[in-house]
Amino acid sequence: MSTDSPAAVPTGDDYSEDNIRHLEGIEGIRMRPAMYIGGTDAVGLHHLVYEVIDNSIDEFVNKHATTITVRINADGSLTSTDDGRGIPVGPMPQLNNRSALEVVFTEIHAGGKFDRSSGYKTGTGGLHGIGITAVNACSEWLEAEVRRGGHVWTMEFAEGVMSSELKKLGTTDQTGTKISFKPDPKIFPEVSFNYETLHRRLQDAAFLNAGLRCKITDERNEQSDEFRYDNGLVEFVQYLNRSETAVHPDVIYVEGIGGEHDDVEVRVALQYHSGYSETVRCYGNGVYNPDGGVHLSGLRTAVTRTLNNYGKRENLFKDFTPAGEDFREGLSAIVAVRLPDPQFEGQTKVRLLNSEVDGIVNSVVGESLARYLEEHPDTAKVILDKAVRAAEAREAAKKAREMVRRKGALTTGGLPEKLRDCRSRELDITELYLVEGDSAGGSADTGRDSNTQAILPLRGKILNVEKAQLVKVLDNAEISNIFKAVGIPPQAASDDITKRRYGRLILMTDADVDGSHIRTLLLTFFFRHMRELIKQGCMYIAQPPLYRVLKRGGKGKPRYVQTHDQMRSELINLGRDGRSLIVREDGTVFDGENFDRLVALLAQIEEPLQTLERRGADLRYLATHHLTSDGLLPRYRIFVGKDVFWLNDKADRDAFLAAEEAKRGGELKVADDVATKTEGMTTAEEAAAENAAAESTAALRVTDMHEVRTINEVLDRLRRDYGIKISDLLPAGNRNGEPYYPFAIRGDEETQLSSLRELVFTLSKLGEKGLQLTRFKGLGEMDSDELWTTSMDPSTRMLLQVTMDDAAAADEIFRVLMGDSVEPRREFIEKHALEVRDLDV
Amino acid sequence: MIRTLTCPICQKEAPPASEAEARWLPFCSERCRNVDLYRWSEGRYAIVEPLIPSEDAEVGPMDDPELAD
Repeated sequence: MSTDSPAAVPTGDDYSEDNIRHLEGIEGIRMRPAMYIGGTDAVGLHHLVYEVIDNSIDEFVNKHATTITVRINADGSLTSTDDGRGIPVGPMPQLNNRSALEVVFTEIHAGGKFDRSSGYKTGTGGLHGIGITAVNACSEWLEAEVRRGGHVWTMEFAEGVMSSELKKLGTTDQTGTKISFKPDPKIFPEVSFNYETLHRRLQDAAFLNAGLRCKITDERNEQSDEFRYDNGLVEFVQYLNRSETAVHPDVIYVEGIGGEHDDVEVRVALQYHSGYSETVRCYGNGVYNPDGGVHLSGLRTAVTRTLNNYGKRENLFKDFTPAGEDFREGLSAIVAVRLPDPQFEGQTKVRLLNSEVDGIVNSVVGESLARYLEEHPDTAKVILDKAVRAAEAREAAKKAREMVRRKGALTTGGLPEKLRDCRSRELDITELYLVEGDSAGGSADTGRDSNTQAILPLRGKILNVEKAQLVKVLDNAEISNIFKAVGIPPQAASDDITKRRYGRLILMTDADVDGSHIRTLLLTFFFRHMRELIKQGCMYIAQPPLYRVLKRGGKGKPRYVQTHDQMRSELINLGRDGRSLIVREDGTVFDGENFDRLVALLAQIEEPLQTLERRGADLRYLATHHLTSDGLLPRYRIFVGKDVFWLNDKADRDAFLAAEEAKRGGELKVADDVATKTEGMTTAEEAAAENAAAESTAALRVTDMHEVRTINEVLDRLRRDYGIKISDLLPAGNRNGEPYYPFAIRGDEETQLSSLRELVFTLSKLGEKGLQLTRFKGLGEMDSDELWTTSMDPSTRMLLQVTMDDAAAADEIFRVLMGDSVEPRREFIEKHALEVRDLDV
Repeated sequence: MIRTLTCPICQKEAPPASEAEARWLPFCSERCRNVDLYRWSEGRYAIVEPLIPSEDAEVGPMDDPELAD
């Protein structure tokens, strides 16, 4: 330690008031470091570094520096370098001509930031002259090296007191400040710097100060990183969202100034992601404020108010009105303000306090965000949708909590009124029938075995929305009835299912399309909320019949037929019995097994033919003009403007398209259509594509007639096995002015056929002779005896056990069929309309 | 049919990471499960289908009115 300097550790000889004050400053900090740096823990320790680099950042903000370098040295000290102007070193006459450099490091309330004329135009984050002095005071040693005015200067301190006075080391053409220091172990119990902590701080600084270059090196383990973000806050938000999925592509960035003297600068960047957490990082004059403060509250108020206004005006809050917290779900944002005299809570600046900033941020963000939403309605829509979903989740959570608080309001408080319970309580033998419709529930009640079988009638409501759709919902009371009857709470864990009130649950719905929908709804519900029941095989589906078959005159015992297809093939079989087919032309007879196989083939082709015709294709026209060389139908239909082309297969189609392309000298705009126009299923997208296509001359429209695949397979076999051609499927028309029948069915009597296509239909008609068919429109049309025999009597009924796969499939179907009852998901459903029909059959 | 393991509410494609999470299956979380239960209990779920002429759904001789009864 040098003693020859007049400003070194004071000795008794030059003891003066000035020295007393000086000692008090440094000693004061060393005695109560927590007051100045927030504590002597790791946070306080790293705070020393922040004080140093914040000064360098201030130089960058005021456009004097471009780069900050921080190096953790092998001995545990730290060196921070910037290329700013360098701290002044000249003598200060008013302070005994001590060097300004010494004053800055040893005096409280000394520093360049008090003097606006010195070049700090905007507010800074420094500590009003305490910061760097505190760093010095808390260091075992500190060395300052300044490049300024063509020279390199150095000065050293020990425990806050100058130990080596100002020295000129040499000349330089650069400027900047380099500070090395080692925290004093007498103050800090732990003096080791953490690379990650400093890394984060420097990266923040680089994000916050677009263009600033920050380097960090750790000599202890050779780590290093370098940052520079030219898009600043926007890149910061992208970084925060790096492991999230953003719900809108662009980061929203707004900035502005406010305050009485227009000296408060506000910058905000924000983006929503698909998660639920809120990440808002707040900075006052470049200093991170972990507890937020007035800038955070200003931002939140502005976001809530602006989004709320927009949503209300655009009528986006139909079901739920989001509250402030709902607009914060999934929000990642940075708010950075810069102001002349920042007031922070605590020396570590955890919170910004300047009350006027709240309103300034609020108005700057409010105005710019409102404009942004106007200009980006798509982004606005996804953000508001997200908030509405958040509001719904909040409502749902509230309801779930209520259910728990009222100790299973859904399960206790008595059994549902509509439940007809059974007497036995043994899970081995008891069954709960969930029956569609009140009247069927009545029949089931009368017919059941009341010892073991309980009945819960369920009502599926059918609504007709906008004339175009049927909407089926489960009446809302039914859900709670199901929970009550089954006796399992909504949040049941897997072992709760032993407490269920019945051994088996049996769904009994009508055998029609509506019934299958109600069944899908119920299965989906159980799959989602009583999953364990299905997993353990407690869930069944009853198989009520669709047809009752009686001998004509009502004689004998009735038979029941489960499905439409079964009935159809049964009638065809009956009609085929003892009959054969005659070909007029050459007298060929098809009988026996030969006849059976022919009928099966023709039964197979009928449905695809009907599909083809529904698409507006005329079979006779195709057979006459577009048959392939093998006598088959073409697979693709292509509209070019108003012209129609039929192409046999993929290769033909591709060749055709290539030729068209060459002809027009450019890539073609092809509007593939899946659903067909004749069925009125043009979706919004297709319509748009169509419009776009209509603009370009002679647009193309390619349709793949999938059903032709089946038709051709059958046609091929008909031709090879029976010599039957497609023309045999077309009505023969007249010959010599008389109707001509090229075929006949021969049995006890002869039935004339004008084409082979009539064969199957005619056979089923013949089969029905002497029978009396009743098609049940619903369970309610069966009397209680019938219901008992067909669907409930354990010795005669058929039950299907529901597997997890079945239920998962129901869930999938449900997702396709599902619509919000308030806003039906029309386009989605229409897009899937063809599949829906398949599911119903 | 394509079988996907997505949460019915948020469509997240996250297989449960732990037994604790598997508790909410087929949902990704308690939050989504609550939302779903809420929708059921409010009667907000509906099956929607466009009105298609009935012959689309049922094809065959039984649709002849003469044969129905």
